[in-house]
Amino acid sequence: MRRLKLRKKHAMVTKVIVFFLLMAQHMATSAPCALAHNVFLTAYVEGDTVFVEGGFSDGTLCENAKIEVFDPSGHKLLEGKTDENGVFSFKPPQKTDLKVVLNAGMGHRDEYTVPAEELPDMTGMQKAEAEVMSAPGTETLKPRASDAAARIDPEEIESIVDRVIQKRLRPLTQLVAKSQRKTGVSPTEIFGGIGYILGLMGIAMYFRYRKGGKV
Amino acid sequence: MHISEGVLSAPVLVVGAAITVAGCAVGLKKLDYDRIPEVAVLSSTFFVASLVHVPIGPSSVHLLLNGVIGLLLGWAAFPSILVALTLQSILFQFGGITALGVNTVNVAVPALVCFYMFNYAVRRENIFISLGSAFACGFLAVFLTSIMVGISLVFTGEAFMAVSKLVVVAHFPVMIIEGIMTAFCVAFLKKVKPEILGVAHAPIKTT
Repeated sequence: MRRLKLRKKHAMVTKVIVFFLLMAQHMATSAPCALAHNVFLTAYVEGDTVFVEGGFSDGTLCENAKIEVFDPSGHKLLEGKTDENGVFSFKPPQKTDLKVVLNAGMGHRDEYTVPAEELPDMTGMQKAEAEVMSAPGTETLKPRASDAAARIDPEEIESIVDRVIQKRLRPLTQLVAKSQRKTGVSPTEIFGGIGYILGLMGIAMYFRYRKGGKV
Repeated sequence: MHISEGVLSAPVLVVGAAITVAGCAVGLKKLDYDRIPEVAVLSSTFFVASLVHVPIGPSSVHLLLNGVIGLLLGWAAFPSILVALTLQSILFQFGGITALGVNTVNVAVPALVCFYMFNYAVRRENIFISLGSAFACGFLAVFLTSIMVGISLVFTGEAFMAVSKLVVVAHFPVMIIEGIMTAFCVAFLKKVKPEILGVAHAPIKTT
């Protein structure tokens, strides 16, 4: 009799749990982003593009979050949204420090500043562009172009080497960018925090006894 | 539940900080020295509870436990939660130092409301009333916190209904879980240490 009752109880508990799990799943699908408490942002430069990655402290990716890019004076340069991998990429419009702000809604926000020296050399790119633009019209550039075919331009070598190195370094850059941002919680900090609270309690108790001694 | 740094506008931050300071003052004034260990234990509970993730689908939410804290501490919930949130923002970068006031208000005010609403009901002899109100306490505390997060975000330009709906929906499982946990806590305390439930309301200041 008792066992039957117990079993009934178990069955009910299981039912309740299953119900909530199903409901939770339903909830989760309707609100996929911006639930955990801490969002973080990493940004790294590769070639002429800046990649931005958003994620939550528990390791999930931050999809569909708004990204804004500001220049040092706070002027908004561009904005966009992260894709399903939590990644957003853009070509830097100018070579200054760029402040990237991620806003995942519900009060979750993080920012990261890409320093100017990490950005690709805009002057070089602009020069190359200018050359291409002016190439068809001007006579003076033509002999130089044939020259370039004969001997390899040191600038060109530099750019090729640059590109290859950046490609090779990509995993490393990502790793460094990620490790720079705090993404998790270590046991040391948890126990440290509890220790702080106990310490505060100790201080309060100390005052209590000092007061008690006076009375 | 941790609103990050730089999200809220200055007036919201100032109001939040002011309420927190006032709440802490009242809480500390009402706090009996004998109950300091209790406050500290609940403070560490809150501190750790935020690390317990409830996985739902691709993401997760975390526990708050402000219902239990409010029920057991009353006004002392303010300093208790402030301490825990300060340590969380320093050690884990949850939320931000400037948003501390608002975050404390968002968690502690619902705790206080629940304390006044359910304090008597929880102490009743009738087990159904007692546990039922304990469940409601845990549930409502998280619900009110979600609403308050929505309110604080309204002033930053996000539409109130949309945000609140999102926050409430996201925390619905947490509300249920916390309701159940609060009921368990009350049932356990009633058996083991019934005086702790009444103590928050007892006349304080014995010295």
